[in-house]
Amino acid sequence: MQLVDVARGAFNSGRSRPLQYRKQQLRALLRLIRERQADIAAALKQDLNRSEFDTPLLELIGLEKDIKLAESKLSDWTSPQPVEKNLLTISDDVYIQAEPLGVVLIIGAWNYPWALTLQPLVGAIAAGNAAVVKPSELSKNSASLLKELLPQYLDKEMYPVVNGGVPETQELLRQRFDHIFYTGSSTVGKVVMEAAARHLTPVTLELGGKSPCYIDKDCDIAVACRRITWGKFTNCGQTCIAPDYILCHPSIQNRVIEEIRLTLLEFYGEDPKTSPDYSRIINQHHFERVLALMEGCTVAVGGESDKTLCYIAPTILKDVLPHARVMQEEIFGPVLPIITVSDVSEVIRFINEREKPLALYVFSSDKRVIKRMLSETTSGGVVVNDVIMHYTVSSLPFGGVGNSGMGKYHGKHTFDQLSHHRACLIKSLAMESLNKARYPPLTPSRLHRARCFMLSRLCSCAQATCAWAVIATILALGLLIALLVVLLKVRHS
Amino acid sequence: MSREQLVVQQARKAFLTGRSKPLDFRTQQLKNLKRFITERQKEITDALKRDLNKSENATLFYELLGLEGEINLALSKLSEWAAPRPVTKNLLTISDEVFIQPEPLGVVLIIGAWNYPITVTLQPLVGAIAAGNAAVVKPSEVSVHTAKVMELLPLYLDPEMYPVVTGGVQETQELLKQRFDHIFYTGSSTVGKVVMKAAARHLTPVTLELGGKSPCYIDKDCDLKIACRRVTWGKYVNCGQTCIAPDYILCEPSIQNKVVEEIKKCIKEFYTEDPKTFRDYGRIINQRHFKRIMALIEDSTVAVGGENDESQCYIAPTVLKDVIPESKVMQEEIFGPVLPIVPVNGVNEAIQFINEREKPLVLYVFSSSKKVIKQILAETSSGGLLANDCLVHFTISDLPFGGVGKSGIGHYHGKYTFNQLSHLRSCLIKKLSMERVNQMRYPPHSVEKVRWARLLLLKQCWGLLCLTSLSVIQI
Repeated sequence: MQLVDVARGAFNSGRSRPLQYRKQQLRALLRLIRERQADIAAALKQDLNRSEFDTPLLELIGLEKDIKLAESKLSDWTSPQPVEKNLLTISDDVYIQAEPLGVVLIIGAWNYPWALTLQPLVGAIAAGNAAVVKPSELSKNSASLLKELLPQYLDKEMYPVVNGGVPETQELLRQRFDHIFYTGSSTVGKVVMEAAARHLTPVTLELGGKSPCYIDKDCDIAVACRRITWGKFTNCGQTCIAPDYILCHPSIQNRVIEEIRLTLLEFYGEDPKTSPDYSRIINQHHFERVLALMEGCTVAVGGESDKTLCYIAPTILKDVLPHARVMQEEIFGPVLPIITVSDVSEVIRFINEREKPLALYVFSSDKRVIKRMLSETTSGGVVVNDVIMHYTVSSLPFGGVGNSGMGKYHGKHTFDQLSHHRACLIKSLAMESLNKARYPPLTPSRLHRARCFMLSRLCSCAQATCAWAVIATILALGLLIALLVVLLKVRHS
Repeated sequence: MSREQLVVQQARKAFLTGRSKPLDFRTQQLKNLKRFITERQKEITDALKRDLNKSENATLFYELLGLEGEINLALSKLSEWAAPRPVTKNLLTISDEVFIQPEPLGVVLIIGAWNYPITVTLQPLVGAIAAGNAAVVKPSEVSVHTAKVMELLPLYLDPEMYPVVTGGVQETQELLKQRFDHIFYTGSSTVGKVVMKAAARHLTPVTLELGGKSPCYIDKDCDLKIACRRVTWGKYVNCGQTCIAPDYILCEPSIQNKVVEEIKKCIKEFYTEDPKTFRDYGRIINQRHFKRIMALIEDSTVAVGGENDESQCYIAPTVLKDVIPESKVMQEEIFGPVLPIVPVNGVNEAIQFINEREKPLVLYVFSSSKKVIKQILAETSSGGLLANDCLVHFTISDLPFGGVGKSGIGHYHGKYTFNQLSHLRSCLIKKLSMERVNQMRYPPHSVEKVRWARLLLLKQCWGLLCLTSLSVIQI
């Protein structure tokens, strides 16, 4: 594919290596999202009926934060990271040097088409790579806007945008990249990884799954439900870390439903269809898919839909059974099943019987419950007493485990993921006598000497210095006391 | 059900009991592993002698010493590595607990290699145990006697948690059909692709420690005597069958003869006039590789060595001179005691030569000029870079050991193995209070709310003031 060759040529020219260039590109990206916010909001309105306020809130502010962080920290991140020396390397330079990988392929998703496509790009640029950007064709207005705008702001050879559907993506996946960053479904994730295997290309797969949300009896249910309602119905439930389903004790189910219903009223009014803040399902295919999931379940709230608008009302299903259709796949829509469970042990069992989720949510004021949930389950990330918010903490690595993904990003983690961390050891040609122990013929005495050296590496320089500092202090104190005693004696005599 | 399926199922069952989670269990297993290599030292050294003609001291030095160091490190650092790791908070999470919690992945598959069969099979196992996983260990069938010794592992380690599966291609393929939570493979790039493809079917992350041709640039400006000494050592250890052996030399034509001379002298010093009879000189692993390596030298000029004996799989320490890029020996990783010298006109041509080829596992530079070293560092890429010596970066636990591009994915050693075989889970523990602060994120949205959000998320110092006032003001 020509664009990929051009990107490789651009990378090989070496111009993406100087920090100045990378900062310039990052600043240009920042200008793009600031200057064209209105256009981006308009495209998102077309794609997902996204409210103009949700655009900065859900996509652009986070992106801006990452760009600013990368720009301000770039020199830190790219400078050699010294490694703790030990007795063997005391006179050497030992460090890890972050280097660009080469040409990165970024395949974006349609639910947050700007954030999920451009946040990896921030890391790719910061790490000094070239990047081929493939936005999702499902969010077609955002895709065509991105194709139009990116070359206007960024180096278009270094960061080309490729649009298209399945055939174009398959063609891209046949090319050789130095890293592939994919956000989307587990099914396609497997296809991406298999294609990457052909070239031994490392991958980052940000996938999904059913993120469970446990509401304990012992907690402020009103606040819990408020937070859950926000996390679930934002973007019409089309969020990889949306709480997929609720697990709670039967005695609080009705209360939970009531609280969510009240919150929905507050957020979206009597008729969410007319609320500017309530989005739509991305397309007919997903609309039908999500509706079909509700079959066979009891609707407690909502359930209304409008095919012409791809509108599905915020819906709650109650008394859902584990084998119901809605529990067989990630919902990715505004449908919230509640499954009743008798106790924390059953919750843990339920969660562990299923694939490791991208996120796990626990609402409880009981520290013991929280501790159990954390230690007896696993997930990409876990948030206690809120939803989604771990996404906004740049220092937390964001990613899945098992079927929910591999690799991680956000903040410095994106930079690290898209860099090669080269181990560097710079020795001198002096001190050759120290090496005698390793050369043949290997005698027991040489071996013994080598053993001493090798195993002494556990005693790091820091420890040795510390030990000396303590000994020196004691000695100094001792000398001081002795001096004082002598002076006193002299005084008296 | 196949034997492999059963073994994996048992390992998963063992993992799900939760007994590998407590640090005590992991510590005990690591201590047992240490006992294995101490108590079975004789069996291990005998096996390696039979597999690779490795002398007892060579086994102790090159395999067991490093492994012991890794076990000791894991034992001493385990509680630190496994503890929650606090991270930098932002304004919105200032009163919350924000940390990364290392967790076991589940069942890890470790596929070892035959060249350092103990080290490259058991070092990953150290990390797997430390991280709290179960692990299925598949030693290489090519180092047949060492594989047999590894079958003794279940006498020391929890046999359900850490089963050993021996066998050839068929058994490995059957294993690769099963679902694991991580696959750690050491070997060739060709098989690496097969492993990754199999892993993709289950979305299993992989660590691939592969190989390639590791270039060794010897600058005019350096102490050639010492440089050649270190290169000779690095090259002919284990009869050249080391993934990080200097594969070939790049140097200026004017120093080529001196380099050949110095290496010749070192070979004599290390391995005597007749390496064939010398205890510390190894053998090629088998006939197939013997023939492969011999074929590589067909179209090149032998400057030193060249003698061989098929019946013993013996190839003398060999140096080839004036080697051209098109020659057979430059088309694949040698993995044998044959050292080609490719003349280049200076560091720029050397860099060009290196960059025209796949990224190597390691790049060696011998030079007294900081400028040259800096240039090579900046203008090339490789798994690791070592200036003025060979191999020793392998022994530094604080350096991540691994390749890039065709030379591998992922890295390990010391804490890196632990991290590679753990899931580092992001944890955010909030309280149900301070709900007012969240108002700005809830619909109905307004310009005002977005402004507050921007302030809190982007402008840290202003945000601190606002956070305090938010608890009073209603948006």
